Amino acid sequence: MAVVTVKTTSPLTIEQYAVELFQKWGIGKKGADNGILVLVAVADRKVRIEVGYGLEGAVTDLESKMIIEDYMIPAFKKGAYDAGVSACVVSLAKLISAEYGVKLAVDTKLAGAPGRARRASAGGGLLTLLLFILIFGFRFGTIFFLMGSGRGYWSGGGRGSFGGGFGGFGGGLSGGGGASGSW
Amino acid sequence: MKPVLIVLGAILLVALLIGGWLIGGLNHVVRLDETVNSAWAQVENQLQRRNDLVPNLVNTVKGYAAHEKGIFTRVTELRSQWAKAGTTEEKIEAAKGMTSAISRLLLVAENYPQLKASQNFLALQSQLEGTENRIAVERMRYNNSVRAFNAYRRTIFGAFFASLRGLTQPREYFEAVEAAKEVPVVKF
Repeated sequence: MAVVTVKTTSPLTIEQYAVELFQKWGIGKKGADNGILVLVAVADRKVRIEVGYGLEGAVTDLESKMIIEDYMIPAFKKGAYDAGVSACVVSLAKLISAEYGVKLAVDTKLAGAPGRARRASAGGGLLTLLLFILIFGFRFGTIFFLMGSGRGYWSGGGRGSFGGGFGGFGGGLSGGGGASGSW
Repeated sequence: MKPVLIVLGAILLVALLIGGWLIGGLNHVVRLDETVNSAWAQVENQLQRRNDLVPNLVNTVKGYAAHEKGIFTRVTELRSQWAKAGTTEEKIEAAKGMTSAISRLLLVAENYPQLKASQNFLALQSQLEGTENRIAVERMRYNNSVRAFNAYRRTIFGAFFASLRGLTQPREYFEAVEAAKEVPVVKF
């Protein structure tokens, strides 16, 4: 799983940008296509969850839409980006772990409070996230977290520097599954 | 070493090179053709998925706007046109019609606040949005593969290999429908 924030996706729409970025980085394993990309375009005030082919059953468009509408947008409206993203990642993790029959060893209550922006506990949230990513990353070798301040284009040395060790970018492909929202 | 052997060796080498080149070219054109086919299969999957979603949408809209008969019959026609379509061209035609019919249907829904607020409609709408986006993605990939095939077919050797393989026709692009933005006529 990759979480990417960019300033703007212009001149592409967020949907086009997400699909291109997904393919460029190859999020998820090749063949299994079990990656997810959460893309936040801050200046455009738009967010997209792009689901790899292999996870379309676990994370449907409707579920993605609900995560965006219920957790991310209310938080983002208050400027609580980390809380919104945390809630989103945890919700997605729940759906995926249910699909693969894995138990999550972390506090999944974070996503239990719809729309409540938890600014105060941002540190705790991030820690939970990191923990979760470690566990999940090792379990599937596909989950990867990246919270950068992307400059708007991905052509830099990005892939090379974090593609290696984690195995998070293995040539996965997405086909436009997921949902978008704006706030 | 005898000169005869050297000549024979050279001939063999040239024959091998030409053979390799021929096989490579023939395989390349077939591979491009197959890429187009599989990309089209993906497009077709998504179009089919959309066609399966549409009856639900129609029924939901009907519940609130039963008198908008024209658009409902149009959708039914297009679905059967899709089912009957045999060639890629016919399918593309049916799909284009469906795209504009669906956007008209959604525009009709704009006039019914209760419908727009219903949970069922919202769910259908997000599924439909997802499908449209998938179609857009697969269409882009299909068009890219068509471009690769058609471009290769127009190169000198590409044309030669393609004709050897019986792939004499260029493949058809699937262009996006621009007329989808047409505004429905409001009757008073």
